[in-house]
Amino acid sequence: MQELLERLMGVVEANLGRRKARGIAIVDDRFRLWAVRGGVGRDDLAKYSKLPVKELEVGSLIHDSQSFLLKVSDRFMVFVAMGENELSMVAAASLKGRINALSDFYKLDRALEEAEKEGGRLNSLLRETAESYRRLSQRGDLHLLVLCDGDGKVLAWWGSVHPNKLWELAALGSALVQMGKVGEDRLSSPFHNATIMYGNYQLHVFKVCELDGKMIILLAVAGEKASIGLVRMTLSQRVDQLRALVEVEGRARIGVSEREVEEVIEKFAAEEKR
Amino acid sequence: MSLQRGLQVKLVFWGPGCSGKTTMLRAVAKLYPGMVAAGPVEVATSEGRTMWEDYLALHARTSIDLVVHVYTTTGQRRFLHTREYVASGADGLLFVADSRREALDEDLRSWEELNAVSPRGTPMLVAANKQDLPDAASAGEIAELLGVEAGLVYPTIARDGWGVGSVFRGLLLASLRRYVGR
Repeated sequence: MQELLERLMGVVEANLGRRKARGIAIVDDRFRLWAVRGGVGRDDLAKYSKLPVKELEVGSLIHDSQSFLLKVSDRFMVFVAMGENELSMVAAASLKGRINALSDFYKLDRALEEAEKEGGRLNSLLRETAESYRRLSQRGDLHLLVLCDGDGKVLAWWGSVHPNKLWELAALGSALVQMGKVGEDRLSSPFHNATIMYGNYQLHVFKVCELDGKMIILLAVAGEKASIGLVRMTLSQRVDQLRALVEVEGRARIGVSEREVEEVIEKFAAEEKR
Repeated sequence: MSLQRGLQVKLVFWGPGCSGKTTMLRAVAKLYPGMVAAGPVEVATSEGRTMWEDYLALHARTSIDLVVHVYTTTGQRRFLHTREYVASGADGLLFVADSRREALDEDLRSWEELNAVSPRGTPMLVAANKQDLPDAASAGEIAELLGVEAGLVYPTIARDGWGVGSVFRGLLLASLRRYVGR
């Protein structure tokens, strides 16, 4: 998957013409970022995200003077932000003219379908991290990866774990990070990771990034012989993607209606009466 | 596995030492046994006092998949600096006041501390706990002491769960409303 995204990014870049883009992103029809190169922020995509892109035909183009969005497969679009005004149409025409070169985006469609079945791109990334570790290491097992925020809210996980244990482990990770933050203040040095060693297990908590002032952390549970440095290395190769996905998916998933809130409260009231 | 269509909220119980925060957490767990997804987990000193936090997760499936993370903070003064970290990022805060008259000064100190560290706009309710004690200040008196509207203060007896459901649902409602229309 990672390789495919890298390759597609390269194809897009190579077909933009001579003008260099400020940023390129591969987004799906829910405007989730799958890959980013250069400077692409949420604000860049905001104006496009309100459009009914699902209804567009492959090859359809939407643009303004500084950026454009090209639908390249049933589910995917390429977003390009140019560094200079008025160049977006030139670059867009260049890329659209080579749309056949972008046919591999259909592979991403299939990957997206798979990912949706299994629970999203964040989970896929965690799975890739684990698989990459397994390919690189001959020693020890990686049992569980949990991506959560500093409050213990779980964003995604990979591995086999009972859900009840998952919440407790995320809370433990959150507590470790909070303790780490206390030390950060006391030692005037930034927190990176926390570790607890058990008889047969190692538990590590890494800081992935900060989002809206909240720390996003990865909790890893590994066997005693696992090389946690290697886990960290495989993770570090995906930090930018994780950060981008957390930003998009983490924000996209929240939002409820008044009716749904009432339904929840009714459910709690009913549970009290049981 | 994924929580794509789910919502998670963090509720924090705050209050002075021995006001009943941990007892309140246990009462919540007893009140919603079919929803307990994890915990209660208590990180306590050898004397049974909360050292870092207590934790409980509730899982409710309606048209949304909701996980409620409930934390308590330490009440003891010596752990002052840790509370701020536990309470950070809360979607809702419950101030558990000790209604015994000799504890009212501590209530006020803890309330002021909470107001100093909690972000503006975080929903906050008050539980006037230990209402079963003979010298307990009423919910109205607690409201006056803390300078909040009487409607935000719920009388509770965490030890036997009385009033806990009302205040917990009130807090959950206020916390979830923050997510309406986002």
